[in-house]
Amino acid sequence: MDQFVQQIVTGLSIGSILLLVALGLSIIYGSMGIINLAHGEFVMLGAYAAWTFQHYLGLGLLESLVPIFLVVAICGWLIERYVLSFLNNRPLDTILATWGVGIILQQAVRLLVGGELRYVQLPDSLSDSTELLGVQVPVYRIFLFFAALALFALTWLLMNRTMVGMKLRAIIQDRAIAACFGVNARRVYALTFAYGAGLAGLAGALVSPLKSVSPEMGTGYVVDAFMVVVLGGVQSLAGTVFSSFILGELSGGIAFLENDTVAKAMVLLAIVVLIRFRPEGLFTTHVRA
Amino acid sequence: MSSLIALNGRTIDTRPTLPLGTNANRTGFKAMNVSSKWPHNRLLLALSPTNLKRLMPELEKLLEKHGGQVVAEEYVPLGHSEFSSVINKFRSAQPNVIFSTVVGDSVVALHRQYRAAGLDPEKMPMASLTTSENEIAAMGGEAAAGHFTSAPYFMVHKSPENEKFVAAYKKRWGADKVTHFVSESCYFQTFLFKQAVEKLAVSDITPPNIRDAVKGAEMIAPQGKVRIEPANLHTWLWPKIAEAKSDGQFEILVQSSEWRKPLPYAAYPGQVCTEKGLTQT
Repeated sequence: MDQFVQQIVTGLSIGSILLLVALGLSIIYGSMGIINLAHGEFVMLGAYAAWTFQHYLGLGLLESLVPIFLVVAICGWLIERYVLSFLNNRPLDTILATWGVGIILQQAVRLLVGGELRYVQLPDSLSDSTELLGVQVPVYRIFLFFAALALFALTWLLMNRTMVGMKLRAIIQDRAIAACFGVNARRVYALTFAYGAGLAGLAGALVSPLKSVSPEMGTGYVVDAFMVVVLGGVQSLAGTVFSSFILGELSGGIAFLENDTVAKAMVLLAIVVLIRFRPEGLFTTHVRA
Repeated sequence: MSSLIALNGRTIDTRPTLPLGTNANRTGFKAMNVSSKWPHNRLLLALSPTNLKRLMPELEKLLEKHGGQVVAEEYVPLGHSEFSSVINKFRSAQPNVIFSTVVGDSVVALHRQYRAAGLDPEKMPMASLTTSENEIAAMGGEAAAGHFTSAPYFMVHKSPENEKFVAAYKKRWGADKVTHFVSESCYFQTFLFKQAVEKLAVSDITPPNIRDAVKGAEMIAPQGKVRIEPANLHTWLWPKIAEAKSDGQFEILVQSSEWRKPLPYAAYPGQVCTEKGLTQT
Protein backbone atom coordinates (compact mmCIF):
# COMPACT_ATOMS: atom_id res chain seq x y z
CA MET A 1 0.00 0.00 0.00
CA ASP A 2 2.85 2.27 0.97
CA GLN A 3 4.59 1.61 -2.30
CA PHE A 4 1.39 2.21 -4.21
CA VAL A 5 0.97 5.65 -2.67
CA GLN A 6 4.66 6.36 -3.26
CA GLN A 7 4.15 5.45 -6.89
CA ILE A 8 1.13 7.74 -7.27
CA VAL A 9 3.07 10.61 -5.75
CA THR A 10 6.09 9.93 -7.99
CA GLY A 11 3.84 9.86 -11.03
CA LEU A 12 2.29 13.19 -10.05
CA SER A 13 5.76 14.68 -9.73
CA ILE A 14 6.87 13.42 -13.14
CA GLY A 15 3.59 14.62 -14.59
CA SER A 16 3.98 18.09 -13.14
CA ILE A 17 7.42 18.46 -14.69
CA LEU A 18 5.98 17.32 -18.03
CA LEU A 19 3.18 19.86 -17.67
CA LEU A 20 5.61 22.67 -16.93
CA VAL A 21 7.61 21.92 -20.04
CA ALA A 22 4.67 21.20 -22.32
CA LEU A 23 2.51 24.19 -21.40
CA GLY A 24 4.50 26.64 -23.49
CA LEU A 25 4.51 24.28 -26.44
CA SER A 26 0.78 23.72 -26.10
CA ILE A 27 0.19 27.45 -26.48
CA ILE A 28 2.51 27.81 -29.43
CA TYR A 29 1.53 24.68 -31.27
CA GLY A 30 -2.10 24.81 -30.28
CA SER A 31 -2.80 28.40 -31.07
CA MET A 32 -0.39 29.13 -33.84
CA GLY A 33 0.11 25.73 -35.40
CA ILE A 34 3.86 26.31 -35.27
CA ILE A 35 5.87 23.16 -34.68
CA ASN A 36 8.54 24.73 -32.56
CA LEU A 37 11.53 22.41 -32.50
CA ALA A 38 13.45 25.06 -30.59
CA HIS A 39 11.20 24.57 -27.57
CA GLY A 40 13.82 22.49 -25.80
CA GLU A 41 16.34 25.28 -26.32
CA PHE A 42 13.98 27.79 -24.68
CA VAL A 43 13.91 25.44 -21.69
CA MET A 44 17.70 25.37 -21.78
CA LEU A 45 17.88 29.17 -22.00
CA GLY A 46 15.72 29.43 -18.91
CA ALA A 47 18.02 27.10 -17.00
CA TYR A 48 21.09 29.07 -18.09
CA ALA A 49 19.35 32.33 -17.18
CA ALA A 50 18.80 30.91 -13.69
CA TRP A 51 22.49 30.01 -13.48
CA THR A 52 23.57 33.44 -14.77
CA PHE A 53 21.42 35.32 -12.29
CA GLN A 54 22.69 33.13 -9.49
CA HIS A 55 26.36 33.10 -10.45
CA TYR A 56 26.85 36.69 -11.50
CA LEU A 57 24.15 38.59 -9.61
CA GLY A 58 23.74 36.40 -6.57
CA LEU A 59 19.97 36.17 -7.00
CA GLY A 60 18.27 33.08 -5.67
CA LEU A 61 16.06 30.95 -7.88
CA LEU A 62 12.72 32.20 -6.60
CA GLU A 63 13.62 35.88 -6.87
CA SER A 64 14.89 35.49 -10.40
CA LEU A 65 11.81 33.71 -11.82
CA VAL A 66 10.19 36.88 -13.20
CA PRO A 67 13.39 38.21 -14.82
CA ILE A 68 13.99 34.75 -16.31
CA PHE A 69 10.50 34.75 -17.80
CA LEU A 70 11.12 38.17 -19.31
CA VAL A 71 14.54 37.29 -20.71
CA VAL A 72 13.38 34.14 -22.46
CA ALA A 73 10.13 35.79 -23.60
CA ILE A 74 12.13 38.55 -25.24
CA CYS A 75 14.26 35.91 -27.02
CA GLY A 76 11.07 34.25 -28.20
CA TRP A 77 9.64 37.56 -29.37
CA LEU A 78 12.77 38.32 -31.38
CA ILE A 79 12.72 34.90 -33.02
CA GLU A 80 9.07 35.23 -33.92
CA ARG A 81 9.46 38.75 -35.25
CA TYR A 82 12.59 38.20 -37.34
CA VAL A 83 12.31 34.58 -38.42
CA LEU A 84 8.86 33.09 -38.08
CA SER A 85 6.68 35.98 -39.12
CA PHE A 86 8.03 35.63 -42.63
CA LEU A 87 6.94 32.01 -42.78
CA ASN A 88 3.17 32.20 -42.41
CA ASN A 89 1.28 29.27 -43.89
CA ARG A 90 4.50 27.44 -44.58
CA PRO A 91 4.55 24.75 -41.92
CA LEU A 92 7.43 22.74 -43.34
CA ASP A 93 9.64 25.79 -43.58
CA THR A 94 8.69 26.68 -40.03
CA ILE A 95 9.84 23.28 -38.81
CA LEU A 96 13.17 23.72 -40.55
CA ALA A 97 13.54 27.28 -39.31
CA THR A 98 12.85 26.41 -35.68
CA TRP A 99 15.19 23.42 -35.90
CA GLY A 100 17.91 25.75 -37.19
CA VAL A 101 17.19 28.30 -34.48
CA GLY A 102 17.47 25.53 -31.91
CA ILE A 103 20.89 24.49 -33.18
CA ILE A 104 22.08 28.10 -33.22
CA LEU A 105 20.92 28.68 -29.66
CA GLN A 106 22.59 25.48 -28.42
CA GLN A 107 25.92 26.28 -29.98
CA ALA A 108 25.75 29.97 -29.06
CA VAL A 109 25.36 29.00 -25.41
CA ARG A 110 28.21 26.52 -25.75
CA LEU A 111 30.48 29.16 -27.28
CA LEU A 112 29.56 31.91 -24.84
CA VAL A 113 29.49 29.96 -21.62
CA GLY A 114 31.25 26.67 -22.31
CA GLY A 115 29.98 23.12 -22.45
CA GLU A 116 30.47 22.17 -18.80
CA LEU A 117 27.56 21.23 -16.59
CA ARG A 118 26.42 24.11 -14.42
CA TYR A 119 25.08 24.29 -10.89
CA VAL A 120 21.83 26.02 -9.91
CA GLN A 121 21.21 26.04 -6.19
CA LEU A 122 18.03 24.63 -4.74
CA PRO A 123 16.36 27.33 -2.61
CA ASP A 124 17.18 26.57 1.03
CA SER A 125 13.60 26.81 2.16
CA LEU A 126 12.63 24.02 -0.23
CA SER A 127 15.54 21.67 0.10
CA ASP A 128 14.22 19.14 2.64
CA SER A 129 12.07 16.15 2.22
CA THR A 130 8.84 15.78 4.09
CA GLU A 131 6.15 13.23 4.74
CA LEU A 132 2.96 13.36 2.73
CA LEU A 133 0.24 10.71 2.96
CA GLY A 134 2.74 8.43 4.64
CA VAL A 135 5.49 8.66 2.05
CA GLN A 136 8.65 10.71 1.86
CA VAL A 137 8.51 13.42 -0.79
CA PRO A 138 11.06 16.11 -1.51
CA VAL A 139 9.52 19.50 -0.72
CA TYR A 140 10.82 20.88 -3.99
CA ARG A 141 8.79 18.37 -5.98
CA ILE A 142 5.66 19.46 -4.14
CA PHE A 143 6.57 23.04 -5.02
CA LEU A 144 6.97 22.09 -8.68
CA PHE A 145 3.54 20.44 -8.64
CA PHE A 146 1.87 23.59 -7.39
CA ALA A 147 3.96 25.79 -9.67
CA ALA A 148 2.82 23.77 -12.68
CA LEU A 149 -0.83 24.06 -11.69
CA ALA A 150 -0.43 27.77 -10.98
CA LEU A 151 1.10 28.41 -14.38
CA PHE A 152 -1.66 26.40 -15.99
CA ALA A 153 -4.27 28.47 -14.15
CA LEU A 154 -2.53 31.68 -15.20
CA THR A 155 -2.44 30.55 -18.81
CA TRP A 156 -6.08 29.56 -18.76
CA LEU A 157 -7.03 32.95 -17.34
CA LEU A 158 -4.98 34.71 -19.97
CA MET A 159 -6.59 32.73 -22.75
CA ASN A 160 -10.16 32.98 -21.57
CA ARG A 161 -10.54 36.10 -19.47
CA THR A 162 -8.40 38.77 -21.11
CA MET A 163 -8.68 40.83 -24.25
CA VAL A 164 -5.46 39.42 -25.62
CA GLY A 165 -6.69 35.92 -25.06
CA MET A 166 -9.94 36.65 -26.80
CA LYS A 167 -8.10 38.11 -29.76
CA LEU A 168 -5.92 35.02 -29.88
CA ARG A 169 -8.94 32.74 -29.86
CA ALA A 170 -10.46 34.81 -32.65
CA ILE A 171 -7.31 34.49 -34.72
CA ILE A 172 -7.19 30.76 -34.13
CA GLN A 173 -10.70 30.39 -35.45
CA ASP A 174 -10.19 32.50 -38.54
CA ARG A 175 -7.32 34.86 -39.02
CA ALA A 176 -8.70 36.80 -41.97
CA ILE A 177 -12.08 37.54 -40.41
CA ALA A 178 -10.41 38.48 -37.13
CA ALA A 179 -8.23 40.91 -39.05
CA CYS A 180 -11.41 42.39 -40.53
CA PHE A 181 -12.55 43.03 -36.99
CA GLY A 182 -9.43 45.06 -36.31
CA VAL A 183 -7.32 42.44 -34.57
CA ASN A 184 -3.62 42.97 -35.19
CA ALA A 185 -2.70 39.35 -35.89
CA ARG A 186 1.01 39.97 -36.18
CA ARG A 187 1.20 41.58 -32.75
CA VAL A 188 -0.92 38.87 -31.11
CA TYR A 189 1.17 36.10 -32.65
CA ALA A 190 4.37 37.74 -31.46
CA LEU A 191 3.04 38.11 -27.93
CA THR A 192 1.76 34.54 -27.88
CA PHE A 193 5.05 33.10 -29.06
CA ALA A 194 6.88 35.21 -26.51
CA TYR A 195 4.57 33.97 -23.76
CA GLY A 196 5.07 30.34 -24.78
CA ALA A 197 8.83 30.83 -24.86
CA GLY A 198 8.74 32.51 -21.46
CA LEU A 199 6.82 29.57 -20.02
CA ALA A 200 9.44 27.19 -21.41
CA GLY A 201 12.16 29.32 -19.83
CA LEU A 202 10.39 29.18 -16.48
CA ALA A 203 10.14 25.42 -16.80
CA GLY A 204 13.87 25.19 -17.45
CA ALA A 205 14.70 27.37 -14.47
CA LEU A 206 12.37 25.46 -12.17
CA VAL A 207 13.67 21.99 -13.02
CA SER A 208 17.35 22.98 -13.11
CA PRO A 209 18.01 22.40 -9.37
CA LEU A 210 16.87 18.81 -9.71
CA LYS A 211 18.59 18.05 -12.95
CA SER A 212 21.69 19.47 -14.54
CA VAL A 213 22.30 22.43 -16.79
CA SER A 214 24.08 21.75 -20.06
CA PRO A 215 23.71 23.08 -23.61
CA GLU A 216 22.14 19.84 -24.82
CA MET A 217 19.59 19.48 -22.05
CA GLY A 218 16.78 20.71 -24.29
CA THR A 219 16.66 17.84 -26.75
CA GLY A 220 15.16 15.45 -24.22
CA TYR A 221 12.50 17.92 -23.18
CA VAL A 222 11.20 18.77 -26.65
CA VAL A 223 10.39 15.12 -27.33
CA ASP A 224 8.49 14.78 -24.06
CA ALA A 225 6.67 18.06 -24.66
CA PHE A 226 5.46 17.02 -28.09
CA MET A 227 4.30 13.66 -26.75
CA VAL A 228 2.21 15.43 -24.13
CA VAL A 229 0.71 17.95 -26.54
CA VAL A 230 -0.07 15.41 -29.25
CA LEU A 231 -1.67 13.00 -26.81
CA GLY A 232 -3.71 15.68 -25.11
CA GLY A 233 -5.07 17.12 -28.26
CA VAL A 234 -3.84 20.20 -30.02
CA GLN A 235 -5.57 23.42 -29.03
CA SER A 236 -6.73 22.01 -25.74
CA LEU A 237 -5.16 23.28 -22.51
CA ALA A 238 -7.15 20.83 -20.43
CA GLY A 239 -5.90 18.07 -22.70
CA THR A 240 -2.32 19.06 -21.97
CA VAL A 241 -2.92 18.84 -18.23
CA PHE A 242 -4.59 15.46 -18.40
CA SER A 243 -2.11 13.93 -20.77
CA SER A 244 0.90 15.15 -18.80
CA PHE A 245 -0.41 13.50 -15.64
CA ILE A 246 -1.46 10.35 -17.47
CA LEU A 247 1.98 10.07 -19.03
CA GLY A 248 3.64 10.89 -15.73
CA GLU A 249 1.78 8.14 -13.87
CA LEU A 250 2.29 5.70 -16.72
CA SER A 251 6.03 6.20 -16.99
CA GLY A 252 6.45 6.27 -13.22
CA GLY A 253 4.45 3.10 -12.82
CA ILE A 254 6.17 1.16 -15.58
CA ALA A 255 9.56 2.39 -14.35
CA PHE A 256 8.78 1.00 -10.94
CA LEU A 257 7.56 -2.37 -12.21
CA GLU A 258 10.30 -2.71 -14.82
CA ASN A 259 12.86 0.02 -15.38
CA ASP A 260 13.10 3.46 -16.91
CA THR A 261 14.32 2.24 -20.27
CA VAL A 262 11.31 -0.05 -20.74
CA ALA A 263 9.03 2.70 -19.43
CA LYS A 264 10.18 5.16 -22.05
CA ALA A 265 9.68 2.65 -24.86
CA MET A 266 6.26 1.49 -23.69
CA VAL A 267 4.93 5.00 -23.16
CA LEU A 268 5.94 5.94 -26.68
CA LEU A 269 4.28 2.77 -27.98
CA ALA A 270 1.11 3.53 -26.07
CA ILE A 271 0.95 7.01 -27.56
CA VAL A 272 1.49 5.69 -31.07
CA VAL A 273 -1.33 3.17 -30.62
CA LEU A 274 -3.68 5.77 -29.21
CA ILE A 275 -2.96 8.24 -31.98
CA ARG A 276 -3.58 5.53 -34.53
CA PHE A 277 -7.10 5.04 -33.25
CA ARG A 278 -7.80 8.60 -32.17
CA PRO A 279 -5.61 10.93 -34.22
CA GLU A 280 -6.97 14.09 -32.71
CA GLY A 281 -5.76 13.16 -29.22
CA LEU A 282 -7.70 12.84 -26.01
CA PHE A 283 -9.53 16.16 -26.02
CA THR A 284 -10.77 17.75 -29.18
CA THR A 285 -12.13 21.16 -29.88
CA HIS A 286 -15.36 20.89 -31.79
CA VAL A 287 -15.37 22.63 -35.12
CA ARG A 288 -18.19 23.05 -37.54
CA ALA A 289 -17.57 20.57 -40.35
CA MET B 1 36.44 -4.76 -21.01
CA SER B 2 37.27 -4.88 -24.67
CA SER B 3 40.05 -2.68 -25.96
CA LEU B 4 37.53 -0.67 -27.93
CA ILE B 5 36.60 1.29 -24.88
CA ALA B 6 38.37 4.51 -24.10
CA LEU B 7 37.38 6.78 -21.25
CA ASN B 8 34.47 6.21 -18.94
CA GLY B 9 33.54 2.84 -20.31
CA ARG B 10 31.84 4.15 -23.43
CA THR B 11 32.64 2.71 -26.83
CA ILE B 12 33.96 5.48 -29.00
CA ASP B 13 34.35 3.71 -32.31
CA THR B 14 35.03 0.26 -33.57
CA ARG B 15 38.40 0.83 -35.17
CA PRO B 16 41.25 -0.24 -32.93
CA THR B 17 41.93 2.72 -30.70
CA LEU B 18 44.33 3.43 -27.89
CA PRO B 19 42.49 3.12 -24.63
CA LEU B 20 44.26 5.48 -22.31
CA GLY B 21 41.63 6.38 -19.79
CA THR B 22 40.29 4.38 -16.93
CA ASN B 23 39.56 0.79 -17.63
CA ALA B 24 36.27 -0.24 -16.14
CA ASN B 25 37.47 -3.56 -14.88
CA ARG B 26 40.44 -2.21 -12.98
CA THR B 27 38.62 0.61 -11.29
CA GLY B 28 35.43 -1.41 -10.95
CA PHE B 29 37.10 -4.38 -9.33
CA LYS B 30 39.13 -2.16 -7.06
CA ALA B 31 35.86 -0.57 -5.97
CA MET B 32 34.49 -4.02 -5.24
CA ASN B 33 37.49 -4.92 -3.12
CA VAL B 34 37.17 -1.84 -0.97
CA SER B 35 33.44 -2.13 -0.55
CA SER B 36 33.94 -5.64 0.76
CA LYS B 37 35.95 -4.21 3.63
CA TRP B 38 32.90 -2.43 4.98
CA PRO B 39 30.56 -4.45 7.18
CA HIS B 40 28.07 -4.32 4.36
CA ASN B 41 26.92 -6.89 1.94
CA ARG B 42 23.90 -5.70 0.00
CA LEU B 43 24.58 -3.99 -3.27
CA LEU B 44 22.21 -2.30 -5.65
CA LEU B 45 23.46 -1.46 -9.08
CA ALA B 46 22.20 1.58 -10.95
CA LEU B 47 23.49 1.30 -14.46
CA SER B 48 23.42 3.03 -17.79
CA PRO B 49 23.09 0.61 -20.71
CA THR B 50 26.68 0.61 -21.83
CA ASN B 51 28.90 -2.42 -22.34
CA LEU B 52 28.97 -2.71 -18.56
CA LYS B 53 25.88 -4.88 -18.69
CA ARG B 54 28.13 -7.67 -19.89
CA LEU B 55 30.31 -7.14 -16.84
CA MET B 56 27.46 -8.24 -14.57
CA PRO B 57 28.26 -11.95 -14.12
CA GLU B 58 31.86 -11.12 -13.23
CA LEU B 59 30.79 -8.45 -10.75
CA GLU B 60 28.40 -10.87 -9.11
CA LYS B 61 31.08 -13.53 -8.77
CA LEU B 62 33.51 -11.07 -7.27
CA LEU B 63 30.90 -9.85 -4.84
CA GLU B 64 30.02 -13.38 -3.75
CA LYS B 65 33.68 -14.05 -3.08
CA HIS B 66 33.65 -11.18 -0.59
CA GLY B 67 30.38 -12.16 1.01
CA GLY B 68 28.08 -9.71 -0.72
CA GLN B 69 25.05 -10.04 -2.93
CA VAL B 70 23.39 -8.05 -5.63
CA VAL B 71 19.87 -7.17 -4.48
CA ALA B 72 18.71 -5.36 -7.59
CA GLU B 73 19.81 -4.06 -10.97
CA GLU B 74 18.37 -0.98 -12.53
CA TYR B 75 18.95 0.29 -16.05
CA VAL B 76 18.22 3.81 -17.23
CA PRO B 77 18.53 5.29 -20.73
CA LEU B 78 21.71 7.23 -21.45
CA GLY B 79 21.22 10.89 -20.60
CA HIS B 80 18.14 10.17 -18.49
CA SER B 81 17.49 12.73 -15.78
CA GLU B 82 14.30 11.65 -13.99
CA PHE B 83 15.33 9.36 -11.15
CA SER B 84 12.32 9.37 -8.86
CA SER B 85 11.43 5.76 -9.69
CA VAL B 86 15.02 4.65 -9.18
CA ILE B 87 15.11 6.42 -5.81
CA ASN B 88 11.88 4.71 -4.82
CA LYS B 89 13.61 1.44 -5.57
CA PHE B 90 16.58 2.48 -3.42
CA ARG B 91 14.14 3.04 -0.59
CA SER B 92 12.36 -0.24 -0.98
CA ALA B 93 15.46 -2.41 -1.56
CA GLN B 94 17.54 -0.74 1.20
CA PRO B 95 20.97 -1.79 -0.09
CA ASN B 96 24.14 -1.02 1.82
CA VAL B 97 25.88 0.32 -1.25
CA ILE B 98 24.68 1.56 -4.60
CA PHE B 99 27.10 0.93 -7.45
CA SER B 100 26.28 3.43 -10.15
CA THR B 101 27.65 3.69 -13.67
CA VAL B 102 25.46 6.50 -14.95
CA VAL B 103 27.46 9.15 -16.78
CA GLY B 104 27.46 12.88 -17.37
CA ASP B 105 24.22 14.78 -16.83
CA SER B 106 22.64 11.75 -15.28
CA VAL B 107 25.21 11.68 -12.47
CA VAL B 108 24.32 15.23 -11.48
CA ALA B 109 20.58 14.57 -11.68
CA LEU B 110 20.86 11.31 -9.69
CA HIS B 111 22.89 12.85 -6.87
CA ARG B 112 20.70 15.93 -6.62
CA GLN B 113 17.52 13.92 -6.52
CA TYR B 114 19.07 11.49 -4.03
CA ARG B 115 19.81 14.43 -1.76
CA ALA B 116 16.43 16.09 -2.27
CA ALA B 117 14.77 12.81 -1.33
CA GLY B 118 16.51 12.94 2.03
CA LEU B 119 18.50 9.72 1.63
CA ASP B 120 21.62 9.40 3.77
CA PRO B 121 25.03 8.68 2.22
CA GLU B 122 26.23 7.33 5.58
CA LYS B 123 23.82 4.42 5.28
CA MET B 124 23.46 4.05 1.52
CA PRO B 125 26.46 5.56 -0.23
CA MET B 126 26.81 5.56 -3.98
CA ALA B 127 30.03 4.16 -5.41
CA SER B 128 30.76 4.98 -9.00
CA LEU B 129 33.45 5.09 -11.64
CA THR B 130 32.13 8.21 -13.31
CA THR B 131 31.57 10.89 -10.68
CA SER B 132 34.46 13.29 -11.02
CA GLU B 133 35.34 16.78 -9.86
CA ASN B 134 33.42 18.17 -12.84
CA GLU B 135 30.16 16.51 -11.87
CA ILE B 136 30.65 17.53 -8.24
CA ALA B 137 31.03 21.15 -9.30
CA ALA B 138 27.72 20.88 -11.14
CA MET B 139 25.78 19.14 -8.38
CA GLY B 140 27.00 21.19 -5.44
CA GLY B 141 29.06 19.99 -2.48
CA GLU B 142 26.03 19.03 -0.40
CA ALA B 143 24.73 16.55 -2.93
CA ALA B 144 28.20 15.13 -3.49
CA ALA B 145 29.47 14.64 0.04
CA GLY B 146 29.79 11.12 1.35
CA HIS B 147 29.77 9.24 -1.95
CA PHE B 148 32.69 7.31 -3.38
CA THR B 149 34.50 7.22 -6.69
CA SER B 150 37.18 4.92 -8.05
CA ALA B 151 39.51 6.45 -10.62
CA PRO B 152 43.23 6.56 -11.38
CA TYR B 153 43.46 10.30 -10.83
CA PHE B 154 42.02 12.88 -8.49
CA MET B 155 42.79 16.56 -8.47
CA VAL B 156 44.07 16.42 -4.88
CA HIS B 157 46.71 13.82 -5.69
CA LYS B 158 50.06 14.96 -4.31
CA SER B 159 52.88 14.85 -6.80
CA PRO B 160 55.11 17.48 -8.42
CA GLU B 161 53.74 16.69 -11.88
CA ASN B 162 50.17 17.07 -10.68
CA GLU B 163 50.89 20.42 -9.06
CA LYS B 164 52.40 21.69 -12.27
CA PHE B 165 49.48 20.29 -14.28
CA VAL B 166 46.77 21.80 -12.06
CA ALA B 167 48.51 25.18 -11.90
CA ALA B 168 48.94 25.30 -15.67
CA TYR B 169 45.34 24.17 -16.23
CA LYS B 170 43.95 26.85 -13.94
CA LYS B 171 46.13 29.50 -15.52
CA ARG B 172 44.89 28.57 -18.97
CA TRP B 173 41.21 28.02 -18.25
CA GLY B 174 40.43 29.98 -15.11
CA ALA B 175 41.00 29.65 -11.39
CA ASP B 176 37.60 28.09 -10.77
CA LYS B 177 38.16 25.16 -13.15
CA VAL B 178 38.86 21.63 -11.94
CA THR B 179 40.91 18.81 -13.39
CA HIS B 180 39.62 15.27 -13.37
CA PHE B 181 40.56 11.82 -14.60
CA VAL B 182 39.33 12.57 -18.08
CA SER B 183 41.28 15.79 -18.53
CA GLU B 184 44.37 14.21 -16.99
CA SER B 185 44.32 11.25 -19.35
CA CYS B 186 43.74 13.56 -22.32
CA TYR B 187 46.78 15.49 -21.16
CA PHE B 188 49.18 12.59 -20.90
CA GLN B 189 47.93 10.77 -23.96
CA THR B 190 48.80 13.80 -26.08
CA PHE B 191 52.38 13.53 -24.89
CA LEU B 192 52.48 9.79 -25.51
CA PHE B 193 51.15 10.42 -29.01
CA LYS B 194 53.95 12.94 -29.49
CA GLN B 195 56.49 10.36 -28.35
CA ALA B 196 55.16 7.84 -30.84
CA VAL B 197 55.10 10.24 -33.78
CA GLU B 198 58.63 11.47 -33.02
CA LYS B 199 59.90 7.91 -33.55
CA LEU B 200 58.60 7.81 -37.12
CA ALA B 201 59.94 9.29 -40.33
CA VAL B 202 57.62 11.89 -41.80
CA SER B 203 56.61 9.68 -44.69
CA ASP B 204 55.68 6.83 -42.32
CA ILE B 205 53.12 8.69 -40.24
CA THR B 206 50.01 6.56 -40.61
CA PRO B 207 47.62 5.36 -37.89
CA PRO B 208 48.83 1.73 -37.86
CA ASN B 209 52.45 2.90 -37.58
CA ILE B 210 51.64 5.30 -34.79
CA ARG B 211 49.85 2.49 -32.99
CA ASP B 212 52.92 0.30 -33.23
CA ALA B 213 55.25 3.10 -32.23
CA VAL B 214 53.36 3.88 -29.06
CA LYS B 215 53.79 0.38 -27.65
CA GLY B 216 55.89 0.62 -24.53
CA ALA B 217 55.84 4.42 -24.43
CA GLU B 218 56.23 5.76 -20.91
CA MET B 219 56.06 9.08 -19.17
CA ILE B 220 55.48 10.60 -15.74
CA ALA B 221 51.86 11.73 -15.86
CA PRO B 222 50.18 13.80 -13.13
CA GLN B 223 48.97 10.56 -11.54
CA GLY B 224 52.41 8.90 -11.69
CA LYS B 225 54.37 6.92 -14.21
CA VAL B 226 52.24 5.51 -17.02
CA ARG B 227 53.08 3.11 -19.79
CA ILE B 228 51.35 1.66 -22.81
CA GLU B 229 51.31 -2.12 -22.50
CA PRO B 230 52.44 -3.60 -25.84
CA ALA B 231 50.28 -6.70 -25.53
CA ASN B 232 46.95 -4.92 -25.44
CA LEU B 233 47.60 -1.20 -25.95
CA HIS B 234 46.00 -0.36 -22.60
CA THR B 235 47.72 1.79 -20.03
CA TRP B 236 49.42 0.93 -16.76
CA LEU B 237 47.61 3.12 -14.22
CA TRP B 238 47.43 3.80 -10.47
CA PRO B 239 43.91 2.97 -9.24
CA LYS B 240 42.59 4.92 -6.26
CA ILE B 241 39.37 5.16 -4.30
CA ALA B 242 38.25 8.47 -2.83
CA GLU B 243 35.34 9.97 -0.97
CA ALA B 244 33.76 13.20 -2.17
CA LYS B 245 33.75 16.13 0.22
CA SER B 246 31.42 19.07 0.42
CA ASP B 247 34.12 21.50 -0.71
CA GLY B 248 34.07 19.98 -4.19
CA GLN B 249 37.25 17.92 -3.88
CA PHE B 250 37.94 14.32 -2.99
CA GLU B 251 39.72 12.70 -0.09
CA ILE B 252 41.76 9.74 -1.28
CA LEU B 253 41.10 6.76 1.00
CA VAL B 254 42.92 3.90 -0.68
CA GLN B 255 45.53 3.98 -3.37
CA SER B 256 47.49 1.36 -5.15
CA SER B 257 51.14 1.26 -4.04
CA GLU B 258 52.34 0.30 -7.51
CA TRP B 259 51.08 0.68 -11.01
CA ARG B 260 48.70 -1.99 -12.26
CA LYS B 261 49.02 -4.02 -15.41
CA PRO B 262 45.96 -3.59 -17.62
CA LEU B 263 43.87 -6.72 -18.15
CA PRO B 264 41.16 -5.62 -20.51
CA TYR B 265 39.55 -9.04 -20.75
CA ALA B 266 39.59 -9.84 -17.04
CA ALA B 267 35.80 -9.95 -17.06
CA TYR B 268 35.69 -12.56 -19.79
CA PRO B 269 37.22 -15.80 -18.51
CA GLY B 270 39.24 -17.66 -21.08
CA GLN B 271 40.11 -14.67 -23.22
CA VAL B 272 43.42 -12.88 -23.25
CA CYS B 273 44.51 -9.93 -25.35
CA THR B 274 47.96 -10.39 -26.90
CA GLU B 275 49.93 -8.56 -29.52
CA LYS B 276 48.54 -10.83 -32.18
CA GLY B 277 44.96 -10.19 -31.09
CA LEU B 278 42.40 -11.80 -28.86
CA THR B 279 43.20 -15.40 -28.06
CA GLN B 280 41.27 -18.06 -26.23
CA THR B 281 43.17 -19.82 -23.44
